[in-house]
Amino acid sequence: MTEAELRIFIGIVQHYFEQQTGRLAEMGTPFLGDPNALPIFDFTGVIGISGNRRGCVYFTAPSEMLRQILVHGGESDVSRENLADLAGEISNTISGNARRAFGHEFMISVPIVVTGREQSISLPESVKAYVMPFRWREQDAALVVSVV
Amino acid sequence: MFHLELGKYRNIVLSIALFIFFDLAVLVLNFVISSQISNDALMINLAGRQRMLSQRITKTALQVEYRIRDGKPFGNELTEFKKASTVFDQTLTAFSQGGRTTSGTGDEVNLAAIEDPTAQGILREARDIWTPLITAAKSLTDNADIMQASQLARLMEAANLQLLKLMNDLTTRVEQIASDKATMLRTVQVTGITLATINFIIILFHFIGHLRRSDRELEHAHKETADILRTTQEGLFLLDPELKIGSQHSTALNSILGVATLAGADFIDILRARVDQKTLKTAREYLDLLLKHDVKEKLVTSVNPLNRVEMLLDQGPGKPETRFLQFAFNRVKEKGKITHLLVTVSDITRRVLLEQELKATEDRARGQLGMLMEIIQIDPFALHQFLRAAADGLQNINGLLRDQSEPVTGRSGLLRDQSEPVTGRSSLVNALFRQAHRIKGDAAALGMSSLADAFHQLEDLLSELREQPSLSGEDFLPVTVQVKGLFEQIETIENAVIRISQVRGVATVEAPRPQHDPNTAKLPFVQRWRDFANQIATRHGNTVEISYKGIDVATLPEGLSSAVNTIINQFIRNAIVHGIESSDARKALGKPEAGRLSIYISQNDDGSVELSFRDDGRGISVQRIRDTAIAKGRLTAEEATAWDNRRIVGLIFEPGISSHAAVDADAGRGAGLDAVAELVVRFGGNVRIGTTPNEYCHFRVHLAPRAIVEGPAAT
Amino acid sequence: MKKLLIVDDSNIIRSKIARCLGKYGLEIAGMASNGQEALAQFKATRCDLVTMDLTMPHMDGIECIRALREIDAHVRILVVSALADKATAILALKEGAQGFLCKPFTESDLTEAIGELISDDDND
Repeated sequence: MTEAELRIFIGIVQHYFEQQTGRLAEMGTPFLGDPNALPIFDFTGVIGISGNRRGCVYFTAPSEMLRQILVHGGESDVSRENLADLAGEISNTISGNARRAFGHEFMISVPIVVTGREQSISLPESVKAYVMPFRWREQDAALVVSVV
Repeated sequence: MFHLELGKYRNIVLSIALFIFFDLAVLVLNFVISSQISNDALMINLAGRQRMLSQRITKTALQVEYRIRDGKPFGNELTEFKKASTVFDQTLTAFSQGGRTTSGTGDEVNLAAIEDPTAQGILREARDIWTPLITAAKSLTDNADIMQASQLARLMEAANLQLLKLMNDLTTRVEQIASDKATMLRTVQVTGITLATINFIIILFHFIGHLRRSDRELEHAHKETADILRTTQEGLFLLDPELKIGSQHSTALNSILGVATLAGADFIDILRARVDQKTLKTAREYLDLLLKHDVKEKLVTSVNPLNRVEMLLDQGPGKPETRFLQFAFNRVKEKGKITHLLVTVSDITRRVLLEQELKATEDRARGQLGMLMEIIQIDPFALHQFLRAAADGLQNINGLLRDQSEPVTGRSGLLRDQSEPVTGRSSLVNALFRQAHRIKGDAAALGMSSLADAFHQLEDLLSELREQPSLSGEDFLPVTVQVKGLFEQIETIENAVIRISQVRGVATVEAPRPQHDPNTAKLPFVQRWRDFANQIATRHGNTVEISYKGIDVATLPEGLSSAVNTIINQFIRNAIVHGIESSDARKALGKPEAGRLSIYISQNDDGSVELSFRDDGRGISVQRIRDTAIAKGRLTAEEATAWDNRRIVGLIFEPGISSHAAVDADAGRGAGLDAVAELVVRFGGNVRIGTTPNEYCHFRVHLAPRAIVEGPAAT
Repeated sequence: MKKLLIVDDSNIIRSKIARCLGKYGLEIAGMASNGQEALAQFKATRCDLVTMDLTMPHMDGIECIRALREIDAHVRILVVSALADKATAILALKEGAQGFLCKPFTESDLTEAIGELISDDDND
């Protein structure tokens, strides 16, 4: 995964926040995480990548952040289902935009939403993942890219 | 020169010419014979008249005789006799020799001599009989007597029957000739028409067969073309000068381009939806060049912008994909004018992907080979030690990034010094830089140039960040990417080392290294310091000699030995870059040409290590450090004068302060000694400095063993 | 003996071309490091052949080709360029260059390209 490719993912997330909430999500310094020690918040939208390159990209956020985004968008129903839906929608946006941006270099799956740590996310074992932390209204979220 | 190009029409033209010839021949014959027949009718008419005249001559001759005998006037009868005999004579001559005569209607007519020998025979006979008669007739005049008249009448009477018979025969003969001619005319007409008909039938059959055959051939050729177009794997089509696709194209073209209907479509429109703007523009220019400019085929091929083009193709709903296509263009010329472009499109995706894969493999192999060549020359123990330290260093770097990952931009960190407001991120950059610099130094010392280069690149990235007034988290992305690459590179080396040690494991089972070699100065790590020193000295145009006394560093615990190694490497670099003068300058100062670096290392009973490093160079210039600190904004002019020399000298352990002007692999980035300071802090030790200008610079370092604990550096 | 003008902003390339084509039997009538110099030299020397770099300061190669063509419609021009993109090459050919050579090139590449340029000339 090159720097430019990562920037595409980062751009998508930042654009999403700006578009939907009118407020930028601040990015922290990116770092590398071992597969067993990656940040996972309450809701995680996972996109699988296959083809020439394999792995996954996920966006993970705490319920509070998702709740605030919903409220910001005028949605009063902040049930767990809706929070999960939102996490899925963010990942969907990432997936859709990435598909366009990458010119179909690799195949990007429809995102699935994982709640908490109850379900495991399958990541490539051998490599370190890129962790891009984001902060929006004092809430932390992260974009994780792990592609072989 | 007129030359008719008949080609395949030769036969048909000949046949038609023959047909016309037959028709014309019949027509001409018809005309000739018809005119002859009308001539013959005249002859029949005249021959009949001769028969009548022969009787009239005899009759009028007898009347003249009677008239004279009776004494009656005979003028009328004589005139009639004369006239009849003259006409008879004239006509007889005209029949036998050709000539003029008077027709029944009194007109003058021209008669050709009869060619028929039978008729001529009759005529000759008649002439023989007639000649004495006409002579006698001419002698008969108005005043003729009975004697003369009677004589003539007798002659006439005598010849009459004979003459009548001959003239009758002549008539019959002439009629016979005419009838023969009519028969011939019919025969000719029938023959001509028959020939023409046969010719026509031949034409009909021959050419219908021919047409059928060529129709079949055409159909066959058409089928062949259709088969080729249907089965070829390539897209084939013609482009007209308006860049419209021709009516026929290969079936494969549809699937290659992912377009259902192509005939007549605008090629540019098709490209527009599939390639980027720039390629489209270039392609347009290129097609224009092909159609309108006379450029050599070879050149044309080499500038083809569609020679390998990545296209976004829609292969049905939800299945968009990129393919690599190759378009080849050939100009179709007619009479030297370009009428079309023949376009061949191939899907070269598979080939391109294979090439890319191959290239990546080759690059990897080449990179790995280079690295392998480097690492097999390194002492395995030192390499192992280095790799551990490097991996730890990288972990530290990543740890620093993670610890600072909290997205706080612009928020000021703790004020470490009143003169230096440091944000969290700019101190992060310095900490990262020290780590990177330390590992780079070690890598370079071991001669692992590719790895040293990679760390140098990391330093470059960090230097760029240093220049920026404010830093966002995203600014660190290139750093993180580079760190990942370094992790992978080190992992690759580790894997290679494992494989190599498996290979040479047996060969290296030699006598164990003596615990206390009296000749420690010849140990591999000292040799490595020497190599490293010589390398840097060569780059800086001076020479150095290293002397070592003390313990075998390899016997120290791993973390400690790696720290010692790093510190010595940094001191060596620092001494050669900043301390040791050029050979000429040293000679002028009365010093030995080669700079002397003396190293001493000992271990105390409590496990702590004493390290001494001394060079006989120009010493530390306090003034220069002061100037640099002011120039870099580290100190204000007031602070610089206020601080004592001891404090100023301490600045050399701070990041970003370097008195070397240019940045190169060895120095000038202001890191090196700050890495030493960091290690010393980590190991809970201390550093003392002694210097005399133009004489020496001496560092004494104490490292305590308790701090073999790893952890991110405190700044 | 055909006269050659070498236009390139790189010293090294200029001397490489001069060395190679001097040996090949061309008279090196002039050298220029940018378009303006090239025009001045061309007016003075009236060369038969020009090797032309495309990316140069002051006046770039394309402009220079156009200007040379206006002065002399028969001069043969070989573009010698790193040829970053094909669009530029196409443009150069349209403007009237007869050949081009990609940098980096070998001596035989250069002599071959020049040979083709000259043989074209003879055929005309």
